[in-house]
Amino acid sequence: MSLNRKLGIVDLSTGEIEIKPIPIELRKKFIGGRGLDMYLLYNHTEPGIDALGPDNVALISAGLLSATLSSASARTHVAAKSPLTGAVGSTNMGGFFAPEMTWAGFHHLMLKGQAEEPVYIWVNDGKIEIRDASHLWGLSTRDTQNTLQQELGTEVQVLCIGPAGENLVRYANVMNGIKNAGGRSGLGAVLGSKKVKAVVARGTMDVEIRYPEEALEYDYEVMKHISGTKFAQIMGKYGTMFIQSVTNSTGLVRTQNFQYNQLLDAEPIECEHIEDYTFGTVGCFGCIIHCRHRYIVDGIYDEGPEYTAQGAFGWEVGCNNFETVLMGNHLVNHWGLDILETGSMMAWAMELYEKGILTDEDTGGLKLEWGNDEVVLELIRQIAFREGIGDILAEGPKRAAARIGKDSLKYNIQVKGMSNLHSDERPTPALALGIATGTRGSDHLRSRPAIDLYHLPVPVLEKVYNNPVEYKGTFTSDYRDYEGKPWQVLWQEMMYMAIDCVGVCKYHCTFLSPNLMKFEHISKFLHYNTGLELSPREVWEVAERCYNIERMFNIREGFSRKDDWLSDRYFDEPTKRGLEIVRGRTLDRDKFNGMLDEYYELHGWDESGVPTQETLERIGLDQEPSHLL
Amino acid sequence: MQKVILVDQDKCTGCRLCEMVCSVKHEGVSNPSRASINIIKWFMEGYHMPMICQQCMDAPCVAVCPKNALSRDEELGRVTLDYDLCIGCKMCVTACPFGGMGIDTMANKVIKCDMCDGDPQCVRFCFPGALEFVDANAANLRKKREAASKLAELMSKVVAA
Amino acid sequence: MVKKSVSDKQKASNRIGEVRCLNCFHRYKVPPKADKFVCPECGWEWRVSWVNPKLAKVRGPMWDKMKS
Repeated sequence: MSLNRKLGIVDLSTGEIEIKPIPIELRKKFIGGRGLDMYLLYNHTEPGIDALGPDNVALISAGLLSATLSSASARTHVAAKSPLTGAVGSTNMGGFFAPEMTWAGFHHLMLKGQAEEPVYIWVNDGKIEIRDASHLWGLSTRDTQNTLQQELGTEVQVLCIGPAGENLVRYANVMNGIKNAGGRSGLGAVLGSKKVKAVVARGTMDVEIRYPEEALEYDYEVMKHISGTKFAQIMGKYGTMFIQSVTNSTGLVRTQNFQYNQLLDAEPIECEHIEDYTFGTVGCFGCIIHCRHRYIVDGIYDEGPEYTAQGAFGWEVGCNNFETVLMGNHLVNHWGLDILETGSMMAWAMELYEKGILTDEDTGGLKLEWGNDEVVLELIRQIAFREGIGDILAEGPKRAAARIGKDSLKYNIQVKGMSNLHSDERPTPALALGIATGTRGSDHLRSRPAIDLYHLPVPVLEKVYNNPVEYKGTFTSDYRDYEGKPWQVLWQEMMYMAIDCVGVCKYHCTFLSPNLMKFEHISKFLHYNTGLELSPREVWEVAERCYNIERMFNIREGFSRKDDWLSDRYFDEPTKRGLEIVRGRTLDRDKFNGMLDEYYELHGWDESGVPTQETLERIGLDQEPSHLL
Repeated sequence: MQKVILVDQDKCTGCRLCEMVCSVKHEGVSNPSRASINIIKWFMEGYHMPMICQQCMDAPCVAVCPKNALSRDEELGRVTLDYDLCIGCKMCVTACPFGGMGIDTMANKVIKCDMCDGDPQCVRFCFPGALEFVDANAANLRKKREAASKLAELMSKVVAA
Repeated sequence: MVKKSVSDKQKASNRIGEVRCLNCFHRYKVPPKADKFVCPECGWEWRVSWVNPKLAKVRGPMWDKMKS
C-alpha cells in the first residue's frame, strides 16, 4: 500500500540512518509530498539557520499517489530552507524518480547534517546506504546519471546535482533524466552544501492498489477525458511553448528585463519551429500529455524546451533565435541551474549594463548587450562555474544587488529574493497578486490563476471556483480587473498544494485548462488507489493546512506583509507594447492593497499576513511544531 | 480471430504507463518488475522501445519447456502458460530471444504476456498509439498504411513543386 | 470526469477549429487549412497554425502591423 511507504532519515554528519513509518494521523492531516515535506521542514529546522549549513534539512519526497493509477503520478518534491530567499524552499519535478523511490519502499527522505567528502545515497528495496561519490564530483547532470546507471544498472533512477550545485550557485537545480529539473528555490545548492551529489533509487516492491479494477476504470476515464481536451492536444504537440502564442502575441511577457512587455517580430522563436528539430515527444511516468520534445541541436541531444526557455533565452535577453533557446535549455540543465532564475539574472545584468551600473570592468569585457546570443550562452557557463561576473550573479537577486550596489535592486523583478517568471503582470492583477504572495517567492506555480487569461464566461468561472468551497463575491471575465481575483489566487493555491501532496503533475489539474482535475478527482483517486477516505472538502482542508504551515515557516523567518509586495516598477512604469487592451497599464497601489487585504481575510490571516489563533485552531495547526515524526 | 500487439516505437513516449497497468491488472499492485511489458530506454539518446512477448508461432519457450506447460493457443494467437504444469525451471527465460519471459520473485513464478485474454490493458492505456491490438491478417496493412501516408506526404510535395 | 449531456458534447465538438481572438476575445471558426484569419469582430489579423486537421491555434500577430 502507498500508506505503508516510509520516511528515511540520513544523518550525513554521523552516517546514521533511521527508517520510520509515517503515522496515519499525519497522512490524514498532510497527505504526503509537498504537504508532509512542509510539516517535516517546520518541525526539523530552527529559525535563522544558515540554509547552506549543516542545520538545514533537505527533504526529497514522492506524493501519496506516486506510482499509482492517477494520471501522471510522477512528481518528485524537494524541500529545504531556500539558500536563495531564506523562505521555504520548495521545488517539484517530473520524471521517474518518485515512482522508483516508492517502489523502493520510501515516500520521504530527510538528509541532515553535512558529509565531509562527496557521497551519494543508495535507496533500494527498504534499505538506505551512504556511498562514496568522489568519482562523480564535477560531472554534469547527465554524465553523473550515465555513470551511475553504468555502475548500478540502467533501471536505476537518479536525482542529482550538477557543477552549479557543487559550486553553491544559489539557484542550482536538481535533475532526473535529461530534462526533469527541480530548479526553483536553489535546492541543488543545499545538496551541494551537504556534499550529496546524487540520490539513487531502485525498487521492486509492490505498491498495492486498494481497488485495482475500479482504479483502472476510473483512471482510464479521466485519462480519456484529458487526452480529448484541446489543451492536451496542443500541449502534446508543442509543449508549454504554446503559451507564448498567447502571451507574447498579446503583450504579457517581460522583455529586456522589464522595459517592455513584448518581443517584437518574434516569429523566429514561435513554438511551431520545434518541428524542424524534434524527433518525437517524451512523457514523464504515466503521463499521456507528453509535453517535451526530443531534439538535437548542434549534434547534442536534449529534451524540452519549455516556455521558460523561450523567456530566458528569448524575450528576456532580447534574443530572437530558436537555436539559442534550444542551446540555452541544454546548458542550464546540463550544468544544473534553475532556468528561470538564470534568465532573469542575465536580463537584469544586461539592463544594469545598459544603464552603466555594470561596466566592462565588472563584466571582464563581456558585452552584456541585448540580443547577443553568444554572450548569453557564455554567461550561463560563468554563472554555473562562478567565473567573472557569474560569481556575483550566482548569488541571486538580493545578495548580488548588495554587492553591485548603486540602486541595482530596484531594477530586479523579484519577490522575497526570487526572480519572477518571464511574464509581465502589469495588465493582470490576479496574476500579480499570485506572484506577490507566493510562499517560495515570485512564482507562477504556487497560485497562478492562468485560466484568467482565457476570458472565460462568468458561469464557467463560478463553476470552477465555487467548488468545494463557495466564494461570497463575484467574478469577472476581464483579466484586467481586480474583482474576485483574491479568491481565484487562493483557490489555485489550494489546487496546486493538493496536487503537489499527491504527487500528480499540475498540467493534469485546473491550471492551464478549466476542464481538468479538481478536488473531487483527487478525492476519488485517493479512494481507489490507497483507501484513504477524504472528501473533496477534506482535501481542500489538507491543502489549506499545508499552505498555512508554509506561511508559518516564512513568518518564523521574519517575512510579513511587506514581503508580499512587488517592485515599484509594476506601479510606476506603464506597459509600452502589445495590443491596445494591455498598453499603458500599471498596477494601482490602492487597489492592489485592497486585494491583499481581501486575500488575507479570506485566509483568516491578520492584516500583516499572520494566521490568527482562531484560524490555526480551525485548521489544526495550533500545536505546531508537534514533532509527531 | 487472431490478433497481435503491434509496437510502433516512433510513437512511444517512454511513460511506462503500460508497465504499471500490466502489473495492476494481473497482480493488483503497481510494480513494473512484475509486469510482462517493459520499456527499454537509452536516456542519453532519447530512444525507447517497448518490449513484450512476441507470441512466436514457433516459440523457443514452448520448444524448451520440459513439462509442456507452454503451448500455442491458435484461437487467440498467443503462447499460453499453464501454471499447474509449470515447475519454475526458467528454461523459457533463458530461451526467449526477446526477454518476453520474466521472473516474478514476489509470487515466485515465471510470467509472460497473456494479452489479458483478448483485451490488453497496455494497449488500452497507450494513448499515443505506440501499442495497437490488431487483426493478425491486417497487421501488414497497418504498416503499409503508415508507410504510405509518409510517402503520400512526400509525393504531394513533389507534385506541388 | 463530469458526465456530459449530448448537447454539451455537440457544443464541445462545434468548438473544434475555433480560435479566440486575443484582442477582443471573440471565438471564431477558422476555415480548414487557413494560415491566417481576420477577426470578424474587431478586424485584427492573426496567423494560425494547425495542431491537427481539426484543431487550430493562434500562431502570432502580423508583426508588421504590431506598433512598437
